[in-house]
Amino acid sequence: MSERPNRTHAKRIVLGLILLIVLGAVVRSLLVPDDFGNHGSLFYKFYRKGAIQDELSRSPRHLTNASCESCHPWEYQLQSHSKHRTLSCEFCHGPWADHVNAQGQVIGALPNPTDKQAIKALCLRCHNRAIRARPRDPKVIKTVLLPDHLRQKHVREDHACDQCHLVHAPLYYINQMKAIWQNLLKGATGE
Amino acid sequence: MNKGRRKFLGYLLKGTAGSLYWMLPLPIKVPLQIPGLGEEEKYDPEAHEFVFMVDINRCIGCGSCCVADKREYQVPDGQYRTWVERYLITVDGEVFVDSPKGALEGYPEPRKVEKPVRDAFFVPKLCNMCEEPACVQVCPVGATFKTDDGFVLIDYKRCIGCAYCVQACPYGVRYIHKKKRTADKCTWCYHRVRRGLLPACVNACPTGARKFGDLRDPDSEVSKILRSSEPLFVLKPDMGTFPRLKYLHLRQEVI
Ligand code: SF4
Ligand code: SF4
Repeated sequence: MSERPNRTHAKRIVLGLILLIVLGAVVRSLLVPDDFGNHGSLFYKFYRKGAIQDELSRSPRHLTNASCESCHPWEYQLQSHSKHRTLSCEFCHGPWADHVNAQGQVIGALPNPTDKQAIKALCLRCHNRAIRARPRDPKVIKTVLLPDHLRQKHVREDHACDQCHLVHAPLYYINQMKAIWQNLLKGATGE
Repeated sequence: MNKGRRKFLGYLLKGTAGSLYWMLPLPIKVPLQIPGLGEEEKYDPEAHEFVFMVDINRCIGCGSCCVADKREYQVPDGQYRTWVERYLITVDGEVFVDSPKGALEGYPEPRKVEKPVRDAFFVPKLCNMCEEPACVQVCPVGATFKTDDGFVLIDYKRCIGCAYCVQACPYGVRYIHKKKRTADKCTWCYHRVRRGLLPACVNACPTGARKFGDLRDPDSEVSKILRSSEPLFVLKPDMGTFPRLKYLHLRQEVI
């Protein structure tokens, strides 16, 4: 008659494993939120549902040009009928959220770049021919080479762009001047 | 009776949660930039398919997009959710790429290259919103995921900042946010799109190089482009990530 084999070690291993599984389940249930799971397909859609809400709770800091119109109708009219109509107001002046809060109250003044260097830097971001952007074809934008352009127009080389071009409507003064010139010529020949 | 009351309370709770869910506040009423969004009572993510398109022929490298992006999200200095690269290709096929400060200040200086240049252009880069995103596959805690309308987003509360996704993304668009200490990346302005506004960079782009819209809307610019003969490309197609970000007039030298 054989002795019963000693199974204590096996029992301990099984007990240890069960303990580990229970511990793992408890820790997981503490760490993983309730709405975490499979929302949609098995792949790529395993997430916490509230995360979408968290992302949506960000408030937009930029709005649109139309949102500036209610308080700045003159600038808006000028700009929205000019070559600069595709520019965002907030690019030069800073984001809406720095200026007006969520209740519609003015909370601060936005920068108004006027000094020569700032104006030149802003204009040349787009209009600098020296950086060789491709947009010749299709024709996207008019570019200039800076000292050359000033020389061609017979103005001093330290002129800032806004001395001839109104920043909100770049050809406004120039077209006005042209019209006046035409009238003068007409008057001169009419006499 | 008791059961009825419990059911009623359940409906009440669901109702309030529901109305919170769909009320997306905007500081003031503005005309919507994406038709049919923002004011919907019940937004159905399955009914939309958003794509982003970048036209290389129209980008002038002004960096307005990068400025708008930095301000919209107050991105720390030295980190970029989107940036613009400058490509110079010489006549003998050598390629020079640079992106000083991610084009935050535009390109104030021309790049000096010894040899004659065959082509020069700018390539805006951002999250590709892949159909098969590598970043989601590697995340060990399920902190990054795909929504039903096609956005790949990050759950900043779950992210442990292990940076697996940063090294998994083939396009290098992810980074560990200096202050939040979690992964971060371009979201295609999910919070703006759901309110009916265009992404901040698209709104700021003066030339229309960046385009965004819903493919299910047949009148949107992107679906018109898709139906036209314009050549569309994606970056690194051999990575098998199937990006939703499409490039128009891309050159093969761009990586
Ligand atoms: S581009 Fe990178 S971060 Fe964006 S979805 Fe694809 S793999 Fe993820
Ligand atoms: S704003 Fe538009 S044109 Fe300017 S760099 Fe960005 S994509 Fe290019």
